[in-house]
Amino acid sequence: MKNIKHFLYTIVLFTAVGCSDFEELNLNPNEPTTVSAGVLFTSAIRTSVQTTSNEAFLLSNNAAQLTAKTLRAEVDFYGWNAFPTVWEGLYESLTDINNAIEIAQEEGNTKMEGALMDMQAWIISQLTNAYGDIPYSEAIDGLNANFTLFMIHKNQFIQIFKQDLHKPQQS
Amino acid sequence: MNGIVVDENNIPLPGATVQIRGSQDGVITDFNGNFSLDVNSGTTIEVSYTGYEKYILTAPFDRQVQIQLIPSNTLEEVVITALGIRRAEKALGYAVQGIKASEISKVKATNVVNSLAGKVAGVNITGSAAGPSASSNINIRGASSLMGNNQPLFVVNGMPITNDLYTFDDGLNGSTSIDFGNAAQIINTDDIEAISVLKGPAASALYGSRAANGVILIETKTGNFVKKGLGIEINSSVQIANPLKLPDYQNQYGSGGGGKYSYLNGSTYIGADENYDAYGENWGPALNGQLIKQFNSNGEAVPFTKSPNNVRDFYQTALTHSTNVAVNSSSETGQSRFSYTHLDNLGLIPNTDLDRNTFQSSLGKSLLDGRLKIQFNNMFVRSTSNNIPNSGYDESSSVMYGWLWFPRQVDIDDLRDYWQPGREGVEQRYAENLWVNNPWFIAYENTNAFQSNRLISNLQLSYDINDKLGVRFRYGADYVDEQRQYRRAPSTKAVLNGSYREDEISFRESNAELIVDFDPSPEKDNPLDVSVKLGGNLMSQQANFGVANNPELQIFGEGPSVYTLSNSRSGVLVESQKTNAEIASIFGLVTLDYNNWAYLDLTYRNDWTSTLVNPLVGIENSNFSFGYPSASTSIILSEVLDLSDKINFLKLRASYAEVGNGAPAYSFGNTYTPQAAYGNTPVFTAGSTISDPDLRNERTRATEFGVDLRLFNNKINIDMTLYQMNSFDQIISLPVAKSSGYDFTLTNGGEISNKGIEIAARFYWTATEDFSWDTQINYGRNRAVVESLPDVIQSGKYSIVADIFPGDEGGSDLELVAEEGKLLGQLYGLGFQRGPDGQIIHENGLPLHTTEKVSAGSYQPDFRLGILNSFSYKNFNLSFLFDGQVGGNIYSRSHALYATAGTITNNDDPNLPLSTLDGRTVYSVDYNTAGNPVYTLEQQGGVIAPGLMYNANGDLVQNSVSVPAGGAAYTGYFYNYYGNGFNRDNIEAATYDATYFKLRELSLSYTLENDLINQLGLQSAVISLVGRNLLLFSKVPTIDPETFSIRNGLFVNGFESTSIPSMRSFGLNLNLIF
Repeated sequence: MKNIKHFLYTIVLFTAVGCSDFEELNLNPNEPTTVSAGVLFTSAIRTSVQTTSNEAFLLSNNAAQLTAKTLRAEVDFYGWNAFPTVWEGLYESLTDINNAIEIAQEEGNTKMEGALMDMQAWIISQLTNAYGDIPYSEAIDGLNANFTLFMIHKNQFIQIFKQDLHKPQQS
Repeated sequence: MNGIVVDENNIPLPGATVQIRGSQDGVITDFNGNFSLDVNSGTTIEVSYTGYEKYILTAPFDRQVQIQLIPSNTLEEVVITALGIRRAEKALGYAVQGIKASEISKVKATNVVNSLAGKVAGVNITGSAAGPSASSNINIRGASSLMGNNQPLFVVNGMPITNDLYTFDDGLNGSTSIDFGNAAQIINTDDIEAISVLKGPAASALYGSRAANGVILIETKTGNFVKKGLGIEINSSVQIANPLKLPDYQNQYGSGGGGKYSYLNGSTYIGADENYDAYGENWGPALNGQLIKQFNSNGEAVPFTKSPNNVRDFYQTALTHSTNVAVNSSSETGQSRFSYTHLDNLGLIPNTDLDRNTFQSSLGKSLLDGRLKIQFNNMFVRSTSNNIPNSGYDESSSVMYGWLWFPRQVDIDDLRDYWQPGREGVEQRYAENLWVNNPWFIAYENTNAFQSNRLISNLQLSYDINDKLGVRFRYGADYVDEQRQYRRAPSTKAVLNGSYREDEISFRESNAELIVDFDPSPEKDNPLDVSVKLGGNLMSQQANFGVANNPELQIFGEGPSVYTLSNSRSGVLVESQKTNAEIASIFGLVTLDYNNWAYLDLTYRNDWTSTLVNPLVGIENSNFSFGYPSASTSIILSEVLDLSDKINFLKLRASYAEVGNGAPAYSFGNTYTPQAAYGNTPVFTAGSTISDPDLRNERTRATEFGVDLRLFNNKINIDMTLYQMNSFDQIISLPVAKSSGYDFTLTNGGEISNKGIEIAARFYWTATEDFSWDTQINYGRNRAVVESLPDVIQSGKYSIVADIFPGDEGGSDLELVAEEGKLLGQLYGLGFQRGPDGQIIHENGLPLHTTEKVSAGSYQPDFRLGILNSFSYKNFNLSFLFDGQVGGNIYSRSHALYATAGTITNNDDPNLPLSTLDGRTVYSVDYNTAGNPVYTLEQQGGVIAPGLMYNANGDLVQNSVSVPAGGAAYTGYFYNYYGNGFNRDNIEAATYDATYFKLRELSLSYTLENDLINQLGLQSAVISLVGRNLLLFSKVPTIDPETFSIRNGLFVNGFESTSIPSMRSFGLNLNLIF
């Protein structure tokens, strides 16, 4: 029986050695988990401005049938279906803005925070201009996001200007 | 004591074990079956030999004995079970099906998985013809997981190896269709001793979180194969193959649109003079010899004639050679085997190939009077290919894409010079310039090469401390190192500047395992025999993928320097991905055997999985430890009950088990994804997936009942299994509202159930000295049903693949869907609007499609059946295997596209009784003085499709409106049948009943007469004529329904697109043993 015990200890030891570095092992080596606010800001500006300018051209010209989608040379195609690009592009930018604001606050970089909030206000104004009532105050919160809370269109504008735009100066 | 051991025919048995009972002392009989052993008279001696009943005698006084062994009937059959433990099949409380080497090595398949098709009940193997390295999709007892490939774990000599696809992006136009193959395919059939399929969770429970999809255990050959000192074995085979099924191409009308065609410059879609020379379809003038300007006629009008075999003539006869030489030696204390195999294959598509060299070695040594055994196995495989074909809907490099639109008048040899004269390496030459690449140009210039090195190694040490206690240590490693190079030549349509890409793949898995084996009563003198095994395993995996893509070449021309990363016009894009994962496990197995008729196995495994450790909350707060129990029992009723003497054996078995399926690495923690830099400013964006912080393993609970019955002197053996598996806590990537800040959340939820029945039956009809006949039948029926989906999915539907063919813009996408309460894998797309009697409703003569997507059913077959017959007459053996499925659905995009292009007749379509040859608008062609075409109407086209329409009063009446079959632009009937105009988004139009049967294998062997082989100095010589996939029975038009698609490294069942024709092969095998 003594022998068996020895072997059992060996086996347990064997596996215990294995688990010791699991925490480090499951850290993603492919992408960073921390970045500066600036690199996210660039992404947000590029995505939101590109979205608004591209879609302003494509969607409105397509809607007015001034242009058609070109699939191939000589095969033009006029079609109309759901265009989620504006909604998705702008909310994607908002995600980056919100993350960047958090990082800027941690760094105590109030100038960056102020600039980010200006951009945030602009993106939200674009969204609410396009869609009216939108998920706002509790959106962009991952699993906790509450999609059913819609802000009233009018209140949205007031809130944007009152709270967000003036917050950095107040603090 | 001296003696001789003989078999039932009094032929000496070399290599039989003669042992003093209860000890390790013993000898092995020599080549003539003789042995001599020092014993005291009265000692109990055991004589054993694989496949024969154990013989027990008391040592007699000094005299010569002859011991005749009786072949054990099949119930003493030994199978390999989990952890490589060999056990009598009768003791098992779950289904394990073993396959012997001879069953897979005769009719060889390049991919070893394909050689299992039809031979194991409940195992569904779908082969593919996508080139020499094509993957094979294997599912055991259905699918337990919504995401992932549901492929079993492959274990070679006790150590897991990888069977991944290593396809990690979607390619151009959304088709990962360059199939570099499933990684386990490289195992060489000539080196395999036996395969054991652990089908259910009870059989595989000792593999814990890697066992949910079953396990394929492979044991390689050792030197024990020969019974005398040294043996040499040579296997050589040659196989030729040609297409099994080609589409029913039409040969009455050539290129063009609306019945018109005249070559101008290859670039006018319609054009001011209606040249239609780049219309790219076969709705043109009649191929009746009229004079029309063509792409190779230098502006002259020449006879417009058919070229019926242009596609067939492009394909070459595929050729496979395989030669294996093995040197075996064995002695009383050791064995060795060295084997070398060379396989080369030339594919169906010109300039595609595969070259594979396998070095296998096995060394075994027995030390300390047999108490210490060392076994060391190595397999090194070097595979290379200069070109693996693309079988996707991808104009840049898929020959199959081109055939959809291929001009029916163009002779394939007229395209053989694929460069424009004087523009070699710069501009290709083809029949038109807008759509399709020259197939020869694709085959010879747009290549996908790879070089792969694979080392599978394992070391086993086992030591018997005493007769009650033993310990075994094993270490196994699997290394993959592979490079791939993709070339796209300048002037490739869709890649006009050409491109060059390199992939680098490295993968390593190692396993270290320690087992203590405790057998308290080795004498087996108690009615209850207990044995206990306890062990631990440490698994470690590292994978590293790198992609460097040069999307536009700078310098054009010919020569190797063109295709480099540095010859770049717009910079090289680089991607890399590293993955590390470990699993630490402890496990135990208790086996109880009561009087050799009642057995109980209890197993438990606990896994600690690194991929479930959440680094955000720390290892203390992570839930990464999961236990997997199993219990199985086997009761041999025929041992205890007084049954009719017609029943030789009756066993009942039952089991319960839980197994798991792991989570992907790095599921936790929000990371930032790099984007293209803005000038010199780096740009990052927040990751798009947010994971459930409590993510768990997927878990399967399974119960299984079985009966094993042998009747009439064991002439009929029937093994039947009923099972139910419930797989819950599905790891599922759910799309979430963008306003949450993310695109997807990775969470657990939902449940899939698999219920099924498997029957493996063997009939030994007759066995006389000269003639024997036996039949094997393998039947399996499995229903995988989506029991529930996570609550947040309110529609009750989850898209497993949301857009099967992303190359098509606009329209509705075809989808593979998991729908609550229905069979897993529903094929979704638009349907037809139908009247009360099911007939299609038309408007203006064209069918009306639904606005919402509908399901055309599931890919799951009702059942699969394999029937193998084997006849032996004197020295001849004939065997043939029929294998196939009944039911299931397949959507053929090839057929939909071929028909819209007017390239095939459509005569074989069971869904639509219209031919593309009827109702065409046809013009004859003449030329005016300016050389422009002048068309004269010969036939006004129009078809009246069967079905209904609304009359002026809004009532449904028989459709009476005639429309052209294929008009200019996409106005014709065929375009609008398969979807809305340019989109082929109607799923019902081209979904077919995928029932098929194949004459999968045929072999005729002749074993040379003993006199003759002795004269040649041989021990045995067998020559065989073999065939694979010789016949196909199916109602599916255009394609072989045994196929699948690959998207993002995922096997997609039920959808076919531009697949390469499957092959019928014939060959000759020679097996020589010296």
